[in-house]
Amino acid sequence: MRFPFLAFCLLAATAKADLIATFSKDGVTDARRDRFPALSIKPGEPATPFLGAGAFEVTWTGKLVLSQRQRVSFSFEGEGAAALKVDDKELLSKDGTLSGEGSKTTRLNAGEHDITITYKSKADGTAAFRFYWESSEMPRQTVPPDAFAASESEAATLGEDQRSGRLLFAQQNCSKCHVSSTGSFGANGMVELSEIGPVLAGIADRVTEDWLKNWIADPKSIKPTTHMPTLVDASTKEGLQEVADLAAYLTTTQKLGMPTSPKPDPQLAQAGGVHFQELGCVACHTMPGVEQPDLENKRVPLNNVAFKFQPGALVDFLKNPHQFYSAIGMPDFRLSDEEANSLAAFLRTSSEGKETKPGHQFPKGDATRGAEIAGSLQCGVCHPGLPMTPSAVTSLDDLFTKDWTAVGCVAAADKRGKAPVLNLSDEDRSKLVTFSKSGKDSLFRNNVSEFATRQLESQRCVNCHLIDGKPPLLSSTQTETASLTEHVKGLHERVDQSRPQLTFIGEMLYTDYIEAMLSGTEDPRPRPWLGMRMPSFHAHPKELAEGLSRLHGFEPSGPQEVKVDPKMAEIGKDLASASGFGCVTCHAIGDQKATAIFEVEGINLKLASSRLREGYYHRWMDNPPSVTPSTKMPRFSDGNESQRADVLDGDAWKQYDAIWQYLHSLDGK
Amino acid sequence: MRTFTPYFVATVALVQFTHAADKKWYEEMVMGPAWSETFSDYFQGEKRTPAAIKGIVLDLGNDNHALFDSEALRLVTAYKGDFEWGGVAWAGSHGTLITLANKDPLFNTASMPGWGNKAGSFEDKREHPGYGKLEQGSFNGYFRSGETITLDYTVLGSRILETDAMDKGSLTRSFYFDKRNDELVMVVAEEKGDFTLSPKRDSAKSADGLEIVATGGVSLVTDTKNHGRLLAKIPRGGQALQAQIAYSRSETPKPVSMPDFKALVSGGKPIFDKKIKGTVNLSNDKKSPYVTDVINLPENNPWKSNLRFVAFDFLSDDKAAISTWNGDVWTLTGIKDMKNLVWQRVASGLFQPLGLKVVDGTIYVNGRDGITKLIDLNNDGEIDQYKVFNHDVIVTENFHEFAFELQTDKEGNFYFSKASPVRPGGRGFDKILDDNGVIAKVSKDGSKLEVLATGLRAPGGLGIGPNGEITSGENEGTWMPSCKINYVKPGNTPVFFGVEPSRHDVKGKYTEPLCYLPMDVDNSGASQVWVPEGIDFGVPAGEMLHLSYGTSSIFHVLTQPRGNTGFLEGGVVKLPIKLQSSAMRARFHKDGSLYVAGFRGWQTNAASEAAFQRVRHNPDVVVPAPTKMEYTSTGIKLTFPAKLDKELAEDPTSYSAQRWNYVRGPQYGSGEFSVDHPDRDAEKQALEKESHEHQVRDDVEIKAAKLSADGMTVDIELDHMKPCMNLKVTYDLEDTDGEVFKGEYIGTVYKD
Repeated sequence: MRFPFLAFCLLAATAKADLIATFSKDGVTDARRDRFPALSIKPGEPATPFLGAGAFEVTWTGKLVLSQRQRVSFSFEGEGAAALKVDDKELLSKDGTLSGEGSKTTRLNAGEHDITITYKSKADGTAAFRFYWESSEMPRQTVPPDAFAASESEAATLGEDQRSGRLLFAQQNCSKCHVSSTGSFGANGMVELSEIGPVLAGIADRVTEDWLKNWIADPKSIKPTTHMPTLVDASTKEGLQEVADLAAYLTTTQKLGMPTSPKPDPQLAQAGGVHFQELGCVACHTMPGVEQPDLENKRVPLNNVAFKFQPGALVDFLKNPHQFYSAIGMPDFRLSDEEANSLAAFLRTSSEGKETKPGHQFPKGDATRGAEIAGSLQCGVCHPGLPMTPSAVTSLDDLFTKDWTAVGCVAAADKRGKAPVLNLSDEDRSKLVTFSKSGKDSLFRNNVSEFATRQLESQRCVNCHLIDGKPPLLSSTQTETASLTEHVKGLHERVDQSRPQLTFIGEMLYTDYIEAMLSGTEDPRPRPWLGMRMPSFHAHPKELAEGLSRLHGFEPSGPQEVKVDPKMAEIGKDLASASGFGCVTCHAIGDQKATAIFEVEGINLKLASSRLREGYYHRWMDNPPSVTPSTKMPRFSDGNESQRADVLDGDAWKQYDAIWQYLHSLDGK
Repeated sequence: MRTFTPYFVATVALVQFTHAADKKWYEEMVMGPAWSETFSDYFQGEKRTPAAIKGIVLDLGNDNHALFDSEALRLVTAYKGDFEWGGVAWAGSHGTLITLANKDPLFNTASMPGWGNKAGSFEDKREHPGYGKLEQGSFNGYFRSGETITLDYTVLGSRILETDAMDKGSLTRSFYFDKRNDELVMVVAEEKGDFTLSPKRDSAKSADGLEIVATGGVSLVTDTKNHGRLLAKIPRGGQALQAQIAYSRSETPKPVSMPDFKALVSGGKPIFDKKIKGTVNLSNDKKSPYVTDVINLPENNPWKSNLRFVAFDFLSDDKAAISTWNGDVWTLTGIKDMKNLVWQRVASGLFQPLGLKVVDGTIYVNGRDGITKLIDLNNDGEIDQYKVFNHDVIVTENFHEFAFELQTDKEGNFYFSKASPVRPGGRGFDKILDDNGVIAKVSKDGSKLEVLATGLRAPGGLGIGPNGEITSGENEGTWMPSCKINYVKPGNTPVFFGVEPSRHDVKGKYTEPLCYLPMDVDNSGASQVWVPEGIDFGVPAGEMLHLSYGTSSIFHVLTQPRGNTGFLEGGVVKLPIKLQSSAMRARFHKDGSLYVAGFRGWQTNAASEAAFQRVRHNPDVVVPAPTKMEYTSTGIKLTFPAKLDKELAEDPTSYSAQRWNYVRGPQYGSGEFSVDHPDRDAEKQALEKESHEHQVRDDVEIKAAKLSADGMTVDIELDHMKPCMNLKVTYDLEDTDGEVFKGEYIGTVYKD
């Protein structure tokens, strides 16, 4: 998807490439920014976390931005009631089943048009809505994200700040200390609140005591994005003693003597460097030899790796990063022994002597004192197994009755009192305060689409994948490590190494397939030619997959039964063959290899039936460059007029449908 | 490959052709008695790549084959057997050549010149050993008489004709030597074991059992340093000499009777004498500005020839000659009235001839081995002499060594373009030699090859304008940010068109194209053709058309002088022409129609594997596209071929504009980069890493649009007019009769 600079400018100035969605329920409103108008709300699920479950209404407002004049017809899919206004003129209104006839074809000139879409859920609060357009030049398809823009809106800013504050509340583990009277947030609570902090059992087998001291004294200096609070004041003599005592406690008591992998052979470092570059580690990390943190992109520094890890423990961590911390941000690359060993060798060799220097000497620590301090600091609330003292802190229920600016963790430094020093910017604190005013109820509610939206950022999906025309961070950072593979011949001669984009992800792939990709269980890999690989995200693959589908207005589902007309399938087979569109040139079909892969390779078409939703398939087939501007996939039709006039009356949609049926006549994987 | 038999001809009309389930088309295609390609083979148990860069496989019948290296002038091997398939035009393979299945050959020769130089030395003194013409001799082509091929070459000034025959495991090479000022020394065979010579030196036998007999005064010797290498000496003499060398492993070889060379070089019986009735789907459409008459291809031909038609020209008003990627030339007669169409296969076995030009009634084809003149000696319609016109072009074994087009200028000079040897995966380049990635000119008499432009990657085609203007397409790739149209006037050459590894010795800066083209407009360029004077094709005479192989489209190229540089700047508008396959080559017929041929060999949206069609302009229907473009200081003027509806024409919302830049560098292709708000960091990174994920186009505000007094030209004012590698202007207008004019102009704006 091309990213027009106009949209970029608007994004930077007064408008963003999205719409303002204003939800209302029982007189309460909540606004947010949506990339596009779509909903899928299941029974019992709130439309947003700031509203309770049940019947609701939402209005999307903003601009429809057209780069040139279009004559389009709009239509809906879903259930409920929906109405569309463009430039204050109602074009379509539907009640009940929303599919069926769309609006009359309307001529819209180039430029911006006011757009308002109103949608009412069903009485039980469930909702399903998607927004389509079509013209003589394109088949019916959802209106893409880059067609929308919205100006600043006070209500939406408030709603977004509340959401940011809510996420910070979860990420900072606030609810671990400020416990709810109900004990938990229930099955329908905010997903992130269920995450548990790192388990420190055996930490002494994994990391060095000196690193522990540095970490406890000032976690932010080692990892600027950490959620670990600064719990001691290392600028004082007492504080340094506390640090030493805590470290002594951990190294003494949290030593299980668990076997670790052998220390990696430093000779493997060069091979590890190749993996480091090939796997795209700099999407989320800076180079291990770099001491200056990348605060702008919030990449995790690696300069402390050699100093931190016990020899061999790094290998184990790389192979199983979530072993002691299920919610860890580092995904599982399913590394082979060779990869893990050589990567560890590279990381250790490159970060040797580059660790963050604390600038002070620590006294000798006392483990017994350390245990007491750990208890008083409530370490156990976040780190299962560590001591904690039954809390005297404010309960969750009371917390939301207080002014967070007056005192406590979120207050300014001079008002913080004895509260731990959280790793918060002024902006973060402001958003937390805004959130505090919305009450605690949203913590007990989960909207899975919003969860997915959060995860795209927090799991750094956008660091590797393009979305809405915005290149991923990796596209600019991977040059930092290019020298690591300079000695490897042939890397630059491989077919195109682009990774898939996420713009249409929920309408593109079946939910089951997304989940399998997130879990790393998908076999075979859809793009085996890529030097990179999709790592496994073990924490919430199911919820994220469901959220991505619902975000795009699709009920979660696996592959759908497609009724195959054998005649159509035969036509489709011919069209896919060398005598048709020649799909087989770049795409394998099952065991039949692609005939002439050059510059790019296509996904094995036998996987299509288990991956692709039909609507996206037609969007892609009709105009591949409109989805991916640089694609090598040829465009076989224009205005539904196929290049092949002699098949199915030259009707492109019918021809693509024939190929669709052919692909579904192949038996699965 | 197999030989065509009379029986097959007799039954062809009766049987429906079906491919045997286990056979590929190229295993069934009848290539004819000679077939040019780059081949691998086996030499003394090891695979040899290449065996011959410009190789000619001779079909000697009964599954017997020999390979002749037309650069080294050496018979490489003779064997009984078939091929291990590869080759881009055959099995679609990018890395593997076609390999002769000669693990158990009758004989081999080592990779070396086939003849000694004046000093009798076989040292390979070519600038690039193994590549190009020898100093001591050159190939003149070959004659075909029936199924017999007579090789024609010159060594140390002496013309040599050679005809090879093989039967029952025995090969006879029959020679005609013209008078010889020097003794000629030839490589005969190379064995692992030593040869033992007969006392008379007229026969020899190797330790491995190869027996060789020589007649006609030829004496056999072994190489002084390698007794497994057998040589033959042909004495100097003022009289012509006929001689034979025969090979066998099973018995003492007995040479076959000496052929009648005079008859063999005078034309012989045709081998493709089955003519095929042609049909055409004529369009009755009177409403469209262009209609396409699709000429049905003789796909079910008796020789199972794969008819990926590509290059063509007219032999007369009524007859066209057209070549296929797989080496054929066919003629089609009856095109004047399209009533009695007749297809005839007139030549075969050419080396991927992607260029064809008719000069004075004679067909010239440009293949990977060079330009070959095709001569019908006995006027039976079939080619008897495949005469080297100019084979000086130096090529490598890389699969991507395509030779594109063949055009002439007013003076009769020939032009073609050559691709660079892209590596099999599509990125980077293999070994690059002198003529890779160039536009070359060959003098009218064929004696001289001159490089006019370098730095091309995959030009796809070529065009020569009415005043000798040289143009080419291009294809996105390494050092090539996007597709484009190159342009240079005669006198401004040589120029460098951008691919640094194939810059060769052209100094100076990169010559930017007439225009760049984004992927959705053209993702693989081909040839250009200019509208001749006196023809109404809906595009003014003297204007250039550009063909897109990748999007199967034809564009009108709108240009203006680029300051005083002698170059042009401009862009394209798509013509509403529907094609049956890709657009590779086009030629205007005298009747004003445009014939277009194209096939599918690499990425394209072509509807079918190949097509040959006639595109006609309905003179009563206006082509709804601009006919003229002019950049102004404030924007662009577009002139349309009809009076426009004023309200729409002066409504700024009837237009849109975008502009963007690319980054040219060592990476494959380029993303799109803002002109108005340059992202220098991203541009810098694009030099180090592929940048396709960076897609930023500036939306340019249309400030105003004014219609000229004659109602046909709109002056579109943009929010600043500035240089950019691509400016896109869309229009959505109507003429005064309500006909919709909707489309886009895509061009390049220079600061000159």
